[in-house]
Formats: sequence, C-alpha cells, structure tokens
Amino acid sequence: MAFWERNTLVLMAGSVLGGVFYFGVVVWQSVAIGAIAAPAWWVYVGYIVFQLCVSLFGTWLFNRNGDEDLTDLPKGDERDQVLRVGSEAVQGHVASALVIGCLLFWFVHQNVALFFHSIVAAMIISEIVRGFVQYHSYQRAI
Amino acid sequence: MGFQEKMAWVMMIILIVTGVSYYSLVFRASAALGATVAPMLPLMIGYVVFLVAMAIIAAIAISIMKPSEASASLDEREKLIQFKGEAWAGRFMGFLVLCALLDFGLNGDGNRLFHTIFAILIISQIAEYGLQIFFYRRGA
Repeated sequence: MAFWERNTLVLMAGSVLGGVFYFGVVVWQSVAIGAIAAPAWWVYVGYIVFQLCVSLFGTWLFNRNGDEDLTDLPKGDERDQVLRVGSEAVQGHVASALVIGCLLFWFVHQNVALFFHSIVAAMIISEIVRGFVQYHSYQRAI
Repeated sequence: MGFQEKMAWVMMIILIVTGVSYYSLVFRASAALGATVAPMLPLMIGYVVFLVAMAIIAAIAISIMKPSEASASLDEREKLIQFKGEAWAGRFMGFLVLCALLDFGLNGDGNRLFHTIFAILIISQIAEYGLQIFFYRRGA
C-alpha cells in the first residue's frame, strides 16, 4: 500500500473517530439534560483538535519505517493528484447536498442546536465519503 | 470559448445577481426588524425556482447559438477542469462553514447562522464557476 493510500485510510479513520467523539459528547450531554444539547465551544474545538491529533499520529505510525521514495511528496504523483481532486469533487457535491438538507430540515424543527449539529454532521459525513471514494479509487487501480 | 466556459460565465453571473437580490431583501427585512430576520421558506423556494428557470433559459439560449458544441460530451481536459473547480470550491465551502460555526459560537444567533450557511452555498457555487473559468483561461 502506497503512502497516499495509507494516508487516505488514516484521515478517514481520523474523521470517523472525530465524529464519534463529537456526537458521543453531544448525545451524552443531550441525554443528561433531556433535550438537544446546545453547541459548546470545547466540544467543537475539541473535535477539531482530536481529529488533527488522530490524523497526525496515524500518519506518523503508518509511515514511520520510511522505506519508500518520498520525493514526490507532499503532492504525490499525477495519479494521486487526479484521485484526490476527483474525490474532493465528490465531497463538494455530498457536502452541498447534505447542507441543503440541513437548511430544509430547519423549517421542520426550528431548533438552532440541532441545526448546528446537523451542519457538523454534514461536514463529517462528506469527509468520510471523500476518504471512502479516494480509497475505493485506489483499490480499483484507476 | 467553448460551451462549458460560456455556461460557467452565465451561471456565475446569474448566481451573483440572484444572490445579491436575495440578500438585499434579507438585509432590508433585518434592518426594519432591528435583528436578523428569521429564514423565510417562500423566499428561499422563490429564489431556487428563479435560479433554476434562469439556468435553463441560459442553457437553451447558449445551445441554440451553437448546437454542435452543446451536444458534445466533455473531453479529458474539460472533465479535469470541472473536477478541479468542484474540488477547490468544496475546500472553500468547508473552510467557510467552519468559520460560520465559530461565528455562531461568538454571537449565538441561529437566524444569522442559517443565512450565513445559505450564503456560503451560493458563494461556493460562484467560486466553482469562477475557478472553472480561471482554469479554462489558464489552459489547465
């Protein structure tokens, strides 16, 4: 498995774990107060920091051997770049569609906290989809 | 100038004109109210219907001018330009959404968050078409 393929998996895992952390805390808070928990700074910023730490640690862990030529880094070769651009294009579409869904859903619930969390969910899901599409493209050997 | 580039120009102009019109109404209503006006579903639906109608009319008008270009499928270069435009606009949207969520943390205004997120969608679409035009012009 090549460097960028491994990194795709690590970043996807970072998004999944970050999402689990964020929504784990939100659900825990919501159950405690019996309503949708209001967005809290420490949870949101904590999520970003957590995801960054998981991604950085994962990248270090899976690439610590340094047994391959990394002269093409950080951009990767042409195939890496095309796969990345393609998966990011898909991510843009997914994020837009989910955000439109969140905007429309607002008119049903009119709950600011739920709207905030749904936007965060849309961003996390689109990031996971990006990783999945990119990894799938590597597997299909495009 | 090919069909895709013409469409990108037209869509960018339509999005700017309709977006400015939409937000001038929102700003005027907010100024009259003295606070950020609540999202209005009829206004949003009206905006989307108008935008779609304008896009269809523009596509038909451009197709009539040169039908052979309109029916041609995208070549490799055009596909890559489209992908790059979408990818960069997606990154831009992600960054702006992050800023909007942080802004909500500062002011706590849900209506403002809604309008900001909707504006980000429009802005990222404008950026997507703008980037496509940039890549076409640059010859990427």
